[in-house]
This record gives sequence, structure tokens and C-alpha cells, in this order.
Amino acid sequence: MAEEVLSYNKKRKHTKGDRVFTICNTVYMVLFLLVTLYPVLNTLAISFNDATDSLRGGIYLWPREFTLYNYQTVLSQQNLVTGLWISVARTVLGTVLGLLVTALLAFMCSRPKYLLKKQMNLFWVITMYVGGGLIPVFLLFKGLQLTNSFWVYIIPGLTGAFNLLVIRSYMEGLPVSLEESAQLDGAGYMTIFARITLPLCTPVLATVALFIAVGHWNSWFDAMLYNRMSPQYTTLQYELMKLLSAVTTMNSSSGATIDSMKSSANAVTPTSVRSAASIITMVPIVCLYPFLQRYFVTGMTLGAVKE
Amino acid sequence: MRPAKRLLALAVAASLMVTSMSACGAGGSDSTGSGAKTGSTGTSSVKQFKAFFTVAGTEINDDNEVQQKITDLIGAKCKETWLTGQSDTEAVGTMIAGGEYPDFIEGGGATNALVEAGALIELDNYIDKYPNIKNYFTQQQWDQLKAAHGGHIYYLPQFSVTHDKKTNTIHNDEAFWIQTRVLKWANYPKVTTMDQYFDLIERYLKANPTMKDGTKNIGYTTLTDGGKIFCLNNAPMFLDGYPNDGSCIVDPKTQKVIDYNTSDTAKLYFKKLNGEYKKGVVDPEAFTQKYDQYISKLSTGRVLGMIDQYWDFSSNVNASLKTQKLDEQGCEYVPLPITIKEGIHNQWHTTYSVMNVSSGVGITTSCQDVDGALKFINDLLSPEVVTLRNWGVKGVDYNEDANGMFTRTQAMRNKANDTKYKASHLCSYSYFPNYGGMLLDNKNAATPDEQISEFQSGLSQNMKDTLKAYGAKTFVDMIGDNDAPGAWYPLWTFANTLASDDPAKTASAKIDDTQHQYLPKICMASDFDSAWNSYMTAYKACKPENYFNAAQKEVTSRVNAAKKYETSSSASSK
Repeated sequence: MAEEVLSYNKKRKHTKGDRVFTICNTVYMVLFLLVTLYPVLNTLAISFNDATDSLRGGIYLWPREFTLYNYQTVLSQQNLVTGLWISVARTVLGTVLGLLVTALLAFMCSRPKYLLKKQMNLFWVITMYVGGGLIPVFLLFKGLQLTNSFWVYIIPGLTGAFNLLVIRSYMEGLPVSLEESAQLDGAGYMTIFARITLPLCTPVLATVALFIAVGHWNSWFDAMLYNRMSPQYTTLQYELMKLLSAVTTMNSSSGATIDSMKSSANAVTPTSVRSAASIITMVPIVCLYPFLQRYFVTGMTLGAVKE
Repeated sequence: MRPAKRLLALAVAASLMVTSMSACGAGGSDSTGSGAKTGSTGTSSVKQFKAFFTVAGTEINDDNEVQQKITDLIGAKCKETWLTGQSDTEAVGTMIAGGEYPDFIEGGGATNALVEAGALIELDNYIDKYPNIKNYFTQQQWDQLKAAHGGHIYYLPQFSVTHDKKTNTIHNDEAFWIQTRVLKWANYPKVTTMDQYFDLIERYLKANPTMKDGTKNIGYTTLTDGGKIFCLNNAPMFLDGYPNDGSCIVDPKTQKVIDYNTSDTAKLYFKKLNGEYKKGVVDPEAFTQKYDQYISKLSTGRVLGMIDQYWDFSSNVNASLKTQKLDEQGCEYVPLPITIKEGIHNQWHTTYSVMNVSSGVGITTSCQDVDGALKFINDLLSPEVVTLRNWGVKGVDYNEDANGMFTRTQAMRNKANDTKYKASHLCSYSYFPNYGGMLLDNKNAATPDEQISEFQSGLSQNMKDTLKAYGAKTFVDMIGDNDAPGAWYPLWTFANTLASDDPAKTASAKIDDTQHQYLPKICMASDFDSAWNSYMTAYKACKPENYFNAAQKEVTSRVNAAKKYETSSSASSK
């Protein structure tokens, strides 16, 4: 069948319509690329531009007054190293554990023979629309001894309804025969899960891993809410957020007014700090992406079953 | 096979991490709000406190140099944390829900909630033991503080005390601001009314449509972004010659609360803005722009004038103008004493040291060493520590001349403006009680900002010329100083003490919504009168009387509370 497709493609001539389509498609894709890339480059330029100069606006792709001071300010924030370590730890641990737990649960919920399948699925969907609210959740976590601990980052977020549904749908799309043939060979559910389902699910697992990892990496609100008084569990993003909000108030409080009238030296603004912090935050996730990308390919089941 | 193995390896790695994490957790455990922890290092034992303030602020480094100096002096230190990404009510709400607090807390707008939740310790019986705290307020102020919460003291307002005399250099509050180049161009005319102000801007704009580099000048801009709508809506109060009582005018003679939103002056003022908008003097984006857009606009030096509180724009804008050397082109702002018509005395600048009883730093029930905590505050108010907090270290952050006057070099000023240096070196414990006005040596101003010599040195030539032309040494001289009009002043402090379900609060929230909706419309309307009428209809539907009646009650009670001190002090002076 694959051969047929190939030969069909070969035989087809490139018609005028094809060419127009290719040109339009390329132009569209290039435009799309520019639209998504521009804000990033602009942020990069602002992060390297003198803060007070940036206030004037008009920075596009290239810094006007080059400086490293924005980065120096951000990187000299104390607790940044602790924050970085905790952020990395929660991202790695949270993603690995979260993926495992969610995949297991999805496996269970995707079994056609599972008695409570319908009810369980409904149960998960409900959590997508109804939340407990800030203070009840806080009280719950406090009751569970999760506040002022590292585990508040990991345990509550082990599974989420959305990711569960994504993985479950994918698993339901896998051919049932694969599972049946494994069962014939004497495999139990755990074996099927580990040896058949999981390997076939790599594309969806990679996708969900990216979701979870980005979520963990970016989150700061939980650090503030549950670990405000425990600086040893601070996260990178919370530290950056604190710096940003400090700079914002510093610049609008009366304290520095006279000084600012006379000296423009070494000042930062919320915009410059935000840009530098965004770039610092973005780099690790951008680096992660190429490694996950190779899993974003489908079609492993092709040819495994003949139906 | 291989993926499964890999998975196993990951799981093992994860479990290893788990164990190491939990070990870390146990080792570094430091339960929240545990109160003062006495860690003995060597011979001295340092008390460590934690504080949370419901305002955004700068967290200083743990090895901050001035903080270490203070710690060496008083044997205690405090780790301060600040509000991030939440409102004060939300932050305090979760703390109350959890029942865990730091040792010190400043509740801001949620102070009442803290008191009602029983989170703050009654300080009544402690105060007498600490002389610096005891003397910090006068008896009248203590009584006012008690009156705010049924006869008990739960917190200490930090910013209400002026030592010796108020030092005024900058006018940190609201005014009509104008660039020095406009005044210079017109040969420093006397500008006292709103019409003169807009007329001057209009003429300048006509003669100079662009800046030197060709960018277009903007005549006047304003701001309606969120709470910053004060830039637009409260001018009628000042234009009529009243000081800033917030959302209403209080007549000093009759002590009657007057609603300025509906006054004739308000109508005149908005009509003027409407007219100037049509003429193209008012920035077309004025009513839609966000705060950062506004700041970046001011930073280009294009805007000739606007109304704002100085603290709201000065820090960012001044630095930026300086960097671009726009101060040499006369793009810096000075305040003008504008009123609606001639013959009205302006009160843009009002000196007062009236107690703001609505919030302050309190000690929580989670604090295990209340006496230690109070001693900490007490020690922070000693002369030596006050100087360290406000000016920094002698020889490093300032020099002292033979007469005991403090001066700074330009290098010191630059450092004081450096973000990194502030975090690593300066420690003002800014949300603990402190003195305004003068230092306890009665020679120097409380902060470098307020020292006249500091203010004047390093001003740009344009600024010097302008101040000189108006016979002024400081910004305050430009618009004149006024005493507080009465015991109720400033009335805006009362808005925070309103409970959330109070009809007065509801009314004020509705007024706020209505103004956000209608004020931009009336300023840009083609038919001003009909737009004004529909605004008035919508405004009346907010039941503003609920708010103003409550304000009236507050004025009466504040005036009555002050009366007994007035008679006793006048008796003693006789």
C-alpha cells in the first residue's frame, strides 16, 4: 500500500495549482515564523538595552545602548541558585512522576472492560470545570502537611484531567489486537502497559511531558502561596517575580526621586528586568525542545496488525 | 525492552532524588511563623524575626551590610518578605485561613481582617516598657490609634511621625506639571489658573510643534488606567483650592463634606479638557493608554504638561530624561500652583503629620517572643539606628562636615540609585516605624531626599534657572506650603477602614466604575453637554450619598476626638 502511494506521488505532475499552493504555503509559513519570532527577538534586544533608554521605546531587533546590567541585576538576586535547583528538581521529578501516574491512570481508564470506565471519566472531566477555590485548597494542603515543603509542588499536580484525557484518547486509538495477542502470550496488564502501550505512546507522552515540564518550570504562584516563609523551597520563577515586583514599586515610590533626577547610572526598569528574566527563563525550555522533538512522530503501529 | 529499562532507570533516579529531597527538607526545616529563633553564633546570640508586608517591596540580601551593622548594634534582625502578584486581601486571606503568620505583619487594606481574625496581639500593656515606642506617638495619637479598634492597640503606624520639623524639598504629591522649556520660552510667566496653563501649552505647541530631533510634541496627557484615574478625576478638588482629602472636599469652616464630582468647577474642568482635546492639545491616547505607555511617552520628553502625583512618574521619567540629556533641552517637569480662577489660594502642597490609623506593623499571635519583637522596634528607633536606616554608613554613603551636616558625593548618589547596591548594602527596614522630617540630631533631614543641599546640588541648569526665575529654592516653594486644614485631614485614610459590605464602600466602588466608563467619554465627546448630563445621571444612580454621609460621620468623629486635646493644649499654653 505504501508503494502505491509513492508511485502515485511520482506520477503526479506539478500543476500550476500545486506551485501556487507551495508558494502561498511558504509565504504563509515564513510570515507565521516572523510573527512568532519577532516578540522573542524584541525581548532579547530590550534585555540587552540600557533600561532608561528602553523607556523611550523604539527598540525593535537590535539594542540601541548595549548593556549587561539588566542581566547582572537579575542574576545577582539572592536565592537564585536555590530557586534554580528547586525549579529543576520539581521539573524533572514532577514530569517523570506526573507522566508515569497519568499514563497509568489513562491506561486504566482506556480499558474497555473496566467496570467504572464511564463514571471515572466523568469524574475526571468534572475537575476540569469545577475547582475548590484558593482558600479551601490552601486549607486542604495545610491539613495534608504539604505547606512549607517541597512536596506541594509534586504531589497535588501528579495528574491532571486534561493530560489524562489526551493520553487516554491516544491509548484508545491503539489497535485492541495488539493487546489481545500479548494476552494470548500470557502477558498481564502491567506487562501490556510497560511493554506494549507505553512504547507505542511515545508521541503523546512526549507532548504531555512538554506540557507538564513547561507548567512546572513556569509556575511560581504555588511557591509564593505555600512556601512563602520557607526560602529554602523557593523557585526560580518566584525569585524573578519578586525582583520584578520590587523593581516596579521601587520605581514608583518616593525614595529614589531625588537620586533619579541627578543620576541615571545603573538603573533598571520593570520592562528591562522582565525582558532579561524572560530570556533567562526561556532558554532551558528552548534547549529541552529539540530533544523531545524526535518523539513527535507517529506511525509506529503501521503494519503491526492486519485487519 | 529498552524503553522499559530506561523507565526503570528514571524511576530509580526519581526515588533517589525523593530521598535526598526529604532529607534536605528534614535538615532545613524551619516551620513558618515559628517566632523568634535564637541562634547562637559564637558569643553573641542574635534574635531572628520574620516579617511580611502587604506591599510590593525589595527583598534585601541576607548578608546585607547595613543590616549586619544594625544587627551588631541591637542583637536582632528581621527577614522581610513582600507582596508578590497578589492583592493584600488575598495574601492576608490565605494567612488567616492557615492560621500561620510571620512575627511581624503589615496588613495594608486587609488590616481590619487581621484584627477581626484575632491575628494581632494587643499591645496596650507592653508599650510603657519601651521608651522609644512610648515616645514615638503623642498621647493624642495613642488615643486615636486606640479609638480605631475599640480601645486597643494592635499595630503601630510607621509613617505618621514627623520629628522636629517637616523638611520639604520635592512636592511628592499631585500638581499640574509643566516642562521647564515651556516656561523658559514664555520668559517664565506667572501661571496660576487652569486657563492660563492650557493657553501657555497651546501657544508653545503652535510655535514649537516638534522637538529638536523632529518628534512631535504632545501638549497634555493624562491617565485613566485602573486606580491611576486619580490623574483625571480629582483635579476639581485642587482647582477649588482645597487640599487632598481624597474623594471629597471638606469645608474647613463648616466641616461639611462636599462632593466635588458634581461641582461647577468639575464641569468647567472637563469642558476645558474636552475643548483642548478637540483642538488637538490633549493627547488622543490620553484616555486609553496604560501606565507603561504613559511612562514611556513622558520619557521621550515629548509631553509638555500633565497632572499627576510626583511619585507616580518621577523616578522612571527623570532617569530616562537624564540619560538622553533631555534635561539640557528643558524637558524636566516643575509643578505650578494652578486653580480654577484668580484669587483662590492653592493647596496642592499640604504639610501634615496627622496619624494614619488605618494600618501599621503589628505583632502576630504566631510570634513567640513578643517582648523581643517590641524591643526590636524600640531599638530601630534609636538615633544611631535611625541614621543607619535612612542615610547608610558614614564615610561610605555620606560624609559629615565640621558642623555635623551630611553631604554626599556624586559617586555616593549614583550608588544609592543602583539596584544591586541597594540590595547588598542598604537596609532601611522601611515598613517598621521611622521618623520623617529631621533626624534625631535635629540638624539633618530624615532622608537624603529631603536635605536641601542634597536637593540643590546636581540640578540641571534649566531646572536651576526655572527655580530661580520664580524665586524658589525647592519644588515646594514653587507652589507654596500649607498647614493641614483640620483634625480630619487627610480624610482619604478612612476609605481603607470601611468594611467590604458597607454601603459606603459599595457606593464608592460604583462611583469608580462609573467614572472609568464616563470620564473618557465626556472628555472626547463631540457634544459635551449631553455627555455631561448622561454622566450625571449615571453618577447619581451610584447612590453617592451613602459614601458622603459616611465620610461626613468620619469628619465629625475625628473633629470631636481632637477637641479635648485642643482645649487642654490651649489651656496649658495660657
